[in-house]
Amino acid sequence: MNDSTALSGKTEISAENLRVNYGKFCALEIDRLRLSGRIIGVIGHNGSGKSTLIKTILQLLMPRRGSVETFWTHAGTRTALIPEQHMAFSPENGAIFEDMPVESYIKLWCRIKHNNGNFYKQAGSPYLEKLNLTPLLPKLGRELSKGQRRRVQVAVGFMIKPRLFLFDEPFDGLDIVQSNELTNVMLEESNSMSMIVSSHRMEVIERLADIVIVLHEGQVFASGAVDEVCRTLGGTSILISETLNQPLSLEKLLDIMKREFLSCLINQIGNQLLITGDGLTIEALQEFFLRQHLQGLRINEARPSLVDAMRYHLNKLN
Amino acid sequence: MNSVSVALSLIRVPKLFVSLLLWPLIIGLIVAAMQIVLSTVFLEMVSESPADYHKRITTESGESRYIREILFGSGKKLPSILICRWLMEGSKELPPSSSCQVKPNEVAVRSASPADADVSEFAQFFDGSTPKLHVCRSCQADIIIERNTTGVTSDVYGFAPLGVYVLTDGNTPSGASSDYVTAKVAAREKLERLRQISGTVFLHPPGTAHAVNVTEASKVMVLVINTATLAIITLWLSLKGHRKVLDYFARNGALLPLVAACGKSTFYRSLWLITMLRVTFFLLAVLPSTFILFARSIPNETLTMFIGDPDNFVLWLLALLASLSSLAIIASIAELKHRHSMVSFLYRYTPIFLALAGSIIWAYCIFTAGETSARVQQVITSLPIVGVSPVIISPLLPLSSTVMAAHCALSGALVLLMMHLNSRWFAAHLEEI
Repeated sequence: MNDSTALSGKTEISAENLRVNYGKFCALEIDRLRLSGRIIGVIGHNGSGKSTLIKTILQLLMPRRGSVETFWTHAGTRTALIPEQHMAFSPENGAIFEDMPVESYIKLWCRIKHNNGNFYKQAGSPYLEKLNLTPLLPKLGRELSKGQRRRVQVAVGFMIKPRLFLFDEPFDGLDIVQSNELTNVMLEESNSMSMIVSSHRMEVIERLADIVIVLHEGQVFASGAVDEVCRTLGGTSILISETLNQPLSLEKLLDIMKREFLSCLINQIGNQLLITGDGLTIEALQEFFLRQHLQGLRINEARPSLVDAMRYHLNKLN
Repeated sequence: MNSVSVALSLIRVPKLFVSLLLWPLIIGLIVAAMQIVLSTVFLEMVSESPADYHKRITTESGESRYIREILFGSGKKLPSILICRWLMEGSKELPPSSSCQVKPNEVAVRSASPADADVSEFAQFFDGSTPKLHVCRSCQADIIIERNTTGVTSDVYGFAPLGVYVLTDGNTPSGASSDYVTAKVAAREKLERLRQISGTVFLHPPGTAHAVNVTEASKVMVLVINTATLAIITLWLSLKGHRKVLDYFARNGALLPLVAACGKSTFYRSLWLITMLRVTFFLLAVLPSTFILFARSIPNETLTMFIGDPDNFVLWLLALLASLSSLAIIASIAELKHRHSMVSFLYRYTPIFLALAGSIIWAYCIFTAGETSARVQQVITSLPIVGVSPVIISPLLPLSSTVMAAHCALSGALVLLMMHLNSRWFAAHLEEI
């Protein structure tokens, strides 16, 4: 599958009238969803249905009604993806048997997927290098940290050479350096496969994904390209700079603005202020600053970041 | 990728190989050994004629040879007891010769004058049960007998020497218990003669298909117990094996990636293959010895009585499996639900309670002959779980094939219904709830 046709392909998710239950509790309900992307981020708070969506795509959970299908699209062709043939999965806590050396665990996977226990020594070795797993090979599963366990499962997933790799909270518990390393590997590998990544870490998703699905209480709240979703959730962001040497101190200005723009999200970033909200315009802000006798402020419109958009959105919901 | 190759890959995981295949093999061997020893001892006990008994106690092993093996390292009868009268040398008390040194499990009788103390009754009592009787003032042995103002006391140091007292029952050819042995043989011979007068006893209990040969019943019981035990262990290994793999994989976080990578049906088929392999390993260890045991120790008449009509025997095996499966499935569901409900542990005990209640009512009906009782018995036996006891012992108290078939069908339906209603709990590992 790591052939030329795999390059520049995308995964399409298509869900229709989907409902997934845990007993009587409805964990996921999607009327209609159709989008395609190379890296699709799934975001939402705890219990929003991210893991349920991933498990349903993997056919680990059976929907109460409706369906979700995934397709590989490339150069006008559209192929249905079958989990056991085309997908790999890295669960939230990583996976490795605690009483087994890492090398044996990788061998087990190579035997299952490639009928060759030594596959990892040949075609799989680049992934061991990229994810710094070679020193871990003789270690037992119980000796690994959470991040190391996850790296093992990620390497195993890459070795499967899937068309679609699904990650459930891959950055949870990783520090910034480890997150960056994993993000870089994922970006590099996205040339040959597509990915679905669920995460709370929106700054990483923003960097990684071209498409996002925002889930809230089991329903799709927004979906589409990252820019589009950020604007849908957060409206507009305006950056205010040159705040020094004004008649009002920065703290005072922040306080007044918070009282004036009650529904907006206002952040202080060094000597700058970032205000995010629906229906926010540069003209309205300029008028407000004139009333406050503030002059010389630089005001620039920007697309809200995913983090700000989500924070604004959650504040609004509350 | 197919389920066979997945199963073969999985059992190459050392932990799974040990717990799924090696362990049942070891259990099988232990069960086989226990089966042989217990069944042989039991069959020897119930089949031994007075002549056999007399022959056995007059051989060189005699009775209680296992206890002698534990105490003295050999099952052979002990030679006549050696009396060692200890001597004073200065202030020290010493045995009279080197062959009189104190060894484990020997008896010492303390006396102020060892040289002329009368210990003839002690010698008679312990003859054949311990090699030496020491007569001394203050020597140490595992059993010390002392006369004092309140009478005689025996101090036994350790549990093993208590076995010496067990040996005194019926071991001493020249001692006091020889009278007891002679009387016992005579009593047995008399009882056997009386039994022969009444011939083979056939019981006609109400509610059973035909008469029961009471004379041979104990031997058939051995076969019933052995077969039911094998069925129970096989089911236990199947369910445990299945859940063991799921638990092991889920605990290590590898279940979801593996199921996703193999496909649900391939993965679960491979689990069933492993389960079947596990059961096969157990049966391979236990079946040959069972067949040898049955062929060598069980008389042909007993085997014929046990199997009876081959169609009914097959029906009994099916009913036994269906009945025990329904119990096992309910216990398994109780275990799965236990994590999520405070009272679910009750599910485990409900079937036991129902089976017990059914057994009591069914047994009560045996003693209250009448059409109603027979009808109640038939209803109880037809029901799954409630009728499990009568089904297990049906080679002894035969049931009609209709009742047995009804039990079989209803138990099978209950298993399917329970699995259908609780499918969510069996997939709980995938939901991780």
